[in-house]
Amino acid sequence: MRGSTRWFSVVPVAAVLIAFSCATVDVEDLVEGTLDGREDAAKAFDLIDKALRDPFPAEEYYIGRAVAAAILTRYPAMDDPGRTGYLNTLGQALAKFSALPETFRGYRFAVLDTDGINAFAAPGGFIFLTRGLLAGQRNEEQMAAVVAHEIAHVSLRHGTGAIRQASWTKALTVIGLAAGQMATDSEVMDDLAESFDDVIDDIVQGLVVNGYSRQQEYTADREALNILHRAGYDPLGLAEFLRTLREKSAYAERKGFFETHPPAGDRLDEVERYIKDNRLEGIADRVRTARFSRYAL
Amino acid sequence: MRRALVISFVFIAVCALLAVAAEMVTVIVGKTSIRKDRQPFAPAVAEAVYTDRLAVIGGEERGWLKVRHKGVEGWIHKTAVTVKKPEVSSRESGERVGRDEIALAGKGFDREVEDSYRRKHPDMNYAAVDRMENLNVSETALIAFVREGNLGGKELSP
Repeated sequence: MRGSTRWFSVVPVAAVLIAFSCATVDVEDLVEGTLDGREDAAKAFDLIDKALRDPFPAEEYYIGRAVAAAILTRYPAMDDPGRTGYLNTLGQALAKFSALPETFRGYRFAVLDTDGINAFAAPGGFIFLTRGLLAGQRNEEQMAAVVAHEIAHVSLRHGTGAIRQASWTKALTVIGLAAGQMATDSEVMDDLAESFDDVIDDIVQGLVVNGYSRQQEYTADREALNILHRAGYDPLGLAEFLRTLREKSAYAERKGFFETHPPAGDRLDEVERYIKDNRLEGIADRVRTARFSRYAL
Repeated sequence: MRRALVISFVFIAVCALLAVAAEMVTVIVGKTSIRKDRQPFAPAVAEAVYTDRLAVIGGEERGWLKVRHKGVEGWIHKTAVTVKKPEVSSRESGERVGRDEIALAGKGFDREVEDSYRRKHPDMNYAAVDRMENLNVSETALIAFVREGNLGGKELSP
């Protein structure tokens, strides 16, 4: 009887050990071993399944650089160290109060030398505002409001959200196979480069041509108000900016900014409601207004 | 007496094991500061770089984690780290990749992929992007800007 009891106590331990050893099958064996094709495919799917994820910050950085290059190819950056320096100081400080205070290599801002009213926020924190957009602002509160809105798009990952499911699944498939060393280096690089191309096309199409969804714009407005409040800016700066935009949109052609964003009047209603519901407050400051005046367009 | 000593020894051993088994996180941004307090402009007590492993020694508070790095304790924003273990791509280090975790970037879109993309699209203005990346503003200047503008409130350490 005593011997039977010892045998029963060993079985569950053995079962656990067998299960554990199966879970640690060496992927490298798949490439070098003598498994048949069907088992290779099964392991490949397993690797790809494990690879399913959103882009990492370092990947967002390289994606963002490519999107930024596409934007800067279409619209040159303004050569104005004073204004660009002011914009970067304001923007990089403001980003510290966001839900994503740091990106892989940090937030950077540029003024695009065009009269058109527009703004773009690429993954990784590459943010662009046009000269036309900045020209309509009257104080640092309004400028901070616009910058906070773009920072919100980055922190909410709206840029990478524009990547089509098919493009990203294809990219992860290649990454999974590369990690399992189930393809040659040159095959991997060719496929990765092609996937990268697709991803960049998706985002540029989303940012420049289509714009974000109405819901994403409203969400970015709300998050911008949170950022402004934490930073100490008067959140009414965003409401004032939208009021100005509403006046301009009444006679502007439906292109660029006005084509890719919801009507300013609708956004203004949402912003005013959010400020009131959350009792957000702030005071416009004389020092901030004075330093804005030095760089106003 | 002997029993008390044994119990004390076991208690100490368990505590030591728990300390050793602290949760570890990996830095996923290029470079960051570990700070004295849970504020974006609190004084830095240590620096950490991409793939550094940090021991978490406290729960999350207002988006910040208390960590220990090279013997120094401080706070880091939770978005700057991940619980995943770092693995370096075979292309970047020549080492084989990890078995179970398709982990950090460097396996996917990295500098080599960008170089390939640039060869395919020579018209893309990467020079302008490089100039844009040079527009880093020092933390000292950011703090001065925030203070001058009466901003930051309780987020700005005195």
